[in-house]
Amino acid sequence: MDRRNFCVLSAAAAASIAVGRMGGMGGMGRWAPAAPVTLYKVIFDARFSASRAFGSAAAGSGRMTAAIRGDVTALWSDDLRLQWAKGGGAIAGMTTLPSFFCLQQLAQDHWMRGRIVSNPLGGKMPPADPRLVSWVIA
Amino acid sequence: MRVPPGISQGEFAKAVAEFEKVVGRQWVFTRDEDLDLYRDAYSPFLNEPEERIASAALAPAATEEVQQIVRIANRYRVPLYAISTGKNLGYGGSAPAYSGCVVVDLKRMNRIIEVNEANAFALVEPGVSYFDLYRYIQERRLKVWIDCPDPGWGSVVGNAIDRGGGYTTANYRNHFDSHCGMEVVLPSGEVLRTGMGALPGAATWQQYKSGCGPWIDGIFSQSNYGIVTKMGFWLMPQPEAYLRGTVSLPRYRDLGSLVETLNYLENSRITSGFPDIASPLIGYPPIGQVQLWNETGPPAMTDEHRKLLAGVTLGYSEELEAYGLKAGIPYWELWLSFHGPREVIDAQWQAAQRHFTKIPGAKFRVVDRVDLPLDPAKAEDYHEPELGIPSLRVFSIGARTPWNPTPSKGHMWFSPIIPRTGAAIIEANRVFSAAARDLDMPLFRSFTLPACFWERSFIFILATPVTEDPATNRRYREGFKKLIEVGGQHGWGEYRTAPVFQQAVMDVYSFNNHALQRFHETLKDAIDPNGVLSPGRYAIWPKHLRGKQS
Repeated sequence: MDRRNFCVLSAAAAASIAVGRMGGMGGMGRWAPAAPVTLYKVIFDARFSASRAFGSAAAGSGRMTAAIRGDVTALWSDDLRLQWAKGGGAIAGMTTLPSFFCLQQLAQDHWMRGRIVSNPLGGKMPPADPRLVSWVIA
Repeated sequence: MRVPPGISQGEFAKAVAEFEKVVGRQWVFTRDEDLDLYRDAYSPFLNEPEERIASAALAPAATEEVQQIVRIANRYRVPLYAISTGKNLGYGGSAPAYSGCVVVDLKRMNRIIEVNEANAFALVEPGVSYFDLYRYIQERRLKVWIDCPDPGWGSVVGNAIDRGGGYTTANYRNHFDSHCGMEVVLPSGEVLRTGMGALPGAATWQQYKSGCGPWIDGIFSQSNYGIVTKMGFWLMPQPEAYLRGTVSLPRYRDLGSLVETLNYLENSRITSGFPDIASPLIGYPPIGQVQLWNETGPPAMTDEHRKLLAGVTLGYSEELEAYGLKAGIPYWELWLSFHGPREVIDAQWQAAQRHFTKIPGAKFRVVDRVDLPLDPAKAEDYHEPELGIPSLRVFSIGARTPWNPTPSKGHMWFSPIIPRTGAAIIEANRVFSAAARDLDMPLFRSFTLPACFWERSFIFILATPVTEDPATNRRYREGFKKLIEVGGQHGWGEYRTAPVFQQAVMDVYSFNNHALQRFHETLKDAIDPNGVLSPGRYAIWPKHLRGKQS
């Protein structure tokens, strides 16, 4: 698959991604998914209650989740890297900005993009925690 | 479609069509949303029009494709900018030095061609990251270590040709020095191999560096004379054991003796692990503990201690020193590490202590003594790169925590080389702190210790933040250039820098009316007469652009 078009083409069984403010690190880009994307996993940071609630909500709606504790090395190395190499693996999450930034940079190796979004899963969001951002990478 | 400067839309479209024939249409990127991936995530021009932007990007999969790309670029005079994986954040990322270049993204060239355990070397392509090489070695249970920077997501080749460094032992920390043999696509499109690689059939390409005749590898680092498509590296045989200990010294004046003794021990190879100088009394952590401090907070400090710190000059006051002596808090703490057979590293540690015992009040502590390989579950108790394990944990340093309430949007590394003496540390602090204060720059606001990546010299590696406010970023960029100048006036030059500062840095390397820079330009004109390869990289501009850049 042309990876550039991945996010546009993989529209089945979708979570609705509401693209909020553009940017991530650096306010880059004009990309927004043309259609909802299939999420491979939802990432949460187990150190923060808001993020745990986000992960629980995702799991409750039948999505696969993965927990981190700040560092994304193992998640990427043991899981996402392999999935992304196959040409898919959109993820959403609620983590610290550096965790998101790391994943976003790693996803760029597969010509995927990350964006900070206000409500990546739809539904009710946990109360905001200023230490965290919610995002999608596809 | 964006277009390189000086090239018509039509001509560029023809060049792009030819690029597509070489690499395949799906690996030619011209849409804005694709090219956004080639912007510098830490750009000091955040939200400003001067940000360096590519006009297109190509992702070849083989040396032959790179050759054809270069030949097409010559025909159409299209400027190229080669990157390996583009992860050198703080030094430019994947953005070109000259806006409008076509980025040649080498990350699909990711073959690990050989890892030779018996002679401890590797031959890799530019798309191989430290994680890739580490994983390859682990999966095959090969008994060799890599030396990686922190974070370890970058390219082994790219980091070496940008002259980056790591954290294991002195033979391997300098990544360019530990390379052995290159394959390079020249601006003509011709392929060249250096060292023993020039001798057809030689099995020693990764075993003997220089071959015969002029050794030219250096000109392909921090430059634009070719695109490196393969590179050999010497690896460290997996050590049997690891010992880490600290030497604590009680008085400010001990800094000079600390450095002198460290130099002797390191230059004699009594210690070869990454030396790490800290100051518990000033509250300055060793590099190996920074991420831990950020995750869990710095050690507690009494109010009295904090108040005394507010009154120091260049990290010193008589009262602070007296407090340290009374409270048993050392002024300086040197972390030493040793890798090798247990009996050898124990003896090395013993010898190191004997030398430091000459400094009154020296105290010693063994932090760890472990057999290797380390149980992977225990790796995170360490600063992993010191054990040759790539990691991304360093990014926690940028996280918002109670100790870092306003993390930046990136940073520009200010990294001057200074002499390996205690006096130089103090003098550099005096000069840079005064200049930074005058310029209102957030550097050297308290006494700052250098790092010991390289043997024989010190290096400061300080992050100047990138903010969301263009006016602040502009001020920081100007201040940064001024600090480069100030450093140059004292004989301290940067070892590496982001494209925006490369001209300013090279300008201070000015001996004999900039003879070095003029020689670089002479080479450029001879090797790359059309100026197609990475114009402006390290201030080496082709003739038609020379002197025309702001």
